[in-house]
Amino acid sequence: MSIRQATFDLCKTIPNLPKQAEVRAAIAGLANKQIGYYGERQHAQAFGYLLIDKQRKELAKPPSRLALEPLSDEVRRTLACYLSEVFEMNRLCVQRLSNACANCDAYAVSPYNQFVQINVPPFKQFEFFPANEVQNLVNEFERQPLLQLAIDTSRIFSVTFSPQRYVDELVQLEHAIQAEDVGSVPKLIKDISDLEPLTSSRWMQLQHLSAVLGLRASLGVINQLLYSKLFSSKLPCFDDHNIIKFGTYAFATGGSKLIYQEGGSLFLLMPGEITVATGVPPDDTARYFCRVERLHTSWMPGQPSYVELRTLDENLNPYAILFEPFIRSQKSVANGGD
Amino acid sequence: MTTFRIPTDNPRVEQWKLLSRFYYPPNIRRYLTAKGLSDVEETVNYIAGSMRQSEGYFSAALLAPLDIAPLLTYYGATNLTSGAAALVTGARPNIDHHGMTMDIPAEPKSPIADYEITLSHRNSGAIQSFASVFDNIPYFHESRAWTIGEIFGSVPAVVNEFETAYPGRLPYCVPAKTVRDEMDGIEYLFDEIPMDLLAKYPDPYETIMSIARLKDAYIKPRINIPAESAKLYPKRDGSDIGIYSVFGEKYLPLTHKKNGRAVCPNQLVMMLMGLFALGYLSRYSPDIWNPFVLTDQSGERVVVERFLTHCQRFLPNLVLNEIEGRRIQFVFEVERDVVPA
Repeated sequence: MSIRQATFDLCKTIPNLPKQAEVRAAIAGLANKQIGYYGERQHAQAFGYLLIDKQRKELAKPPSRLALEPLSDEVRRTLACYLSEVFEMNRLCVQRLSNACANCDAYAVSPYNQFVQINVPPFKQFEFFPANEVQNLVNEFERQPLLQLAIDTSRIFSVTFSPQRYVDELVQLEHAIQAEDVGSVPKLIKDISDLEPLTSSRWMQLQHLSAVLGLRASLGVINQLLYSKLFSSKLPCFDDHNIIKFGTYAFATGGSKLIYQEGGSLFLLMPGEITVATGVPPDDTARYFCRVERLHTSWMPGQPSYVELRTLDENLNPYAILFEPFIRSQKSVANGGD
Repeated sequence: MTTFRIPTDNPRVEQWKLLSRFYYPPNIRRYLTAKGLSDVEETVNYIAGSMRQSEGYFSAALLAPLDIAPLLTYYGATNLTSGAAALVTGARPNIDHHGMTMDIPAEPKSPIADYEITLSHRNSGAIQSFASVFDNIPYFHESRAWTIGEIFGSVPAVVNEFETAYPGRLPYCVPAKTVRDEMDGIEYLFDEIPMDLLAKYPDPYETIMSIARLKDAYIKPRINIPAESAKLYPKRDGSDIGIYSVFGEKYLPLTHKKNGRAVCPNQLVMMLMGLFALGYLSRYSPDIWNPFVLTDQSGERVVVERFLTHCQRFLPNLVLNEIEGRRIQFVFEVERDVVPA
């Protein structure tokens, strides 16, 4: 089984769970409210609503001057309890890494660590998610080679890096990736990949950070899939029924660019959402899971919109192809060198 | 079909020159052999004779008055089409009837557009034979009855006159302009139908959905009302379902509802049906046709003349397209010297 399959198995349980229905109702109730609008646009699932709620007083000041109605106590409590379990699930997934590398803890690898942190109740037990399926997911996450790579390469940072330093480095690396379009390898990565020997400290640092970033991104995709399942039984799909023109696929990054027709399941698509794509390169008979990286959309049904996608591997890592040289080199070293 | 442009200053002459290659048995045999079809002498002679006679009928029709021009044009069209059908299949078509009949009611109808033909002789009718060779029309024979007005409204060249002569009636084809656009460096094409044109129909979205073979050509349309136009995005590996005017303007045909089914014969079949109807009226009902030709006060004569002259020019072009396997477009282009800056 893969992390993807374990996540899908967990997702299948969501429609039948009463506690999940509470979360769905809480978020649906925010649909026509300003706080709901701004919370959604943080692209951070349920976390986004609590984040905006926490920052209301700041947002009321110049220059934003947003007068946002607060979340009700009930909604705040429901979302906070839900997030408490999400955080615990994320923590369990990387516990083996945190045990091996104390400064690479759950906060350092959290998909939400680039935001202001919010308080959630301490975790007691799983109520929003079935413990069995959560454990299966954790087991699969621990089994993936990327986690072992992160542990094996953590020596380069273990003494000098604080958790906050980890966060800063990861966020900086992710920003460097996202500053380029999905078809481009950032200069930072290309220079090290092309010019640095495998044993250089820069190479090994980037190798470790790429592994941790991949783990962090996988957790982000898992959280997004669990959140999406609250509202829809199917993922949005790019296929011959809505792709107007395929642009490019970059073998070096797993990034695709295409133009699609706004409407149907693709209406109001947001960055960070997970989609299916069929009839696209590299194999137009295969089905790919992708993360939406960038959108230019008119929000009008029938109009063309532009999207950049990044292909997920079976462990839900959107950066697997981008960092493949660094992962491959570890396998090569493990096998006795090139 | 791909488009092949032939420069000429006289398309009518040029198309008959190309068709006249098939008056000669050696050319016919070469064509049949190249297609892997048998070149039996009887078939070769049938093709040569049909094609030659057709030009004669068309030439006579050009000079004939409206009293008899429809019949002559119909004879030319059926000769040409049956010769071409034999050429592309390698076998003489099995025809012993027009495949259409017309019941003339005791009370004359007005306008002429309300007269209707009925399909008959499914297995030996000419129109059915031609439709099976040059078109793929599900439920065509079951569609049974067609009015002259439906036929006129399905031919792009006649649409303007149709709308003027029959206020309130809506054409069965809509113009579509192919537009090239670009978004974030990706070029793409789409076909655009003006919304003010679709607004004439009771339901613009249903009108788009009634375009014949829409799903073969375009991804599912989504139109935003209000909008200036409806955009249709071609499917990857989709078919070209457009019908083209003499000047290469693209139209999208709308299906006709017949006995609960959507039916849409192509332009060639429509023209043959229309010519049969007008030819039948002129030949067998001079009591109806003569007053119409001499004293029409409604302006419908303009539609009939437009349909007739269009068939005389364009039906041979459509047959040539079928023989060649590509859309032949005759163009008038003037060579210009390039002036250095």
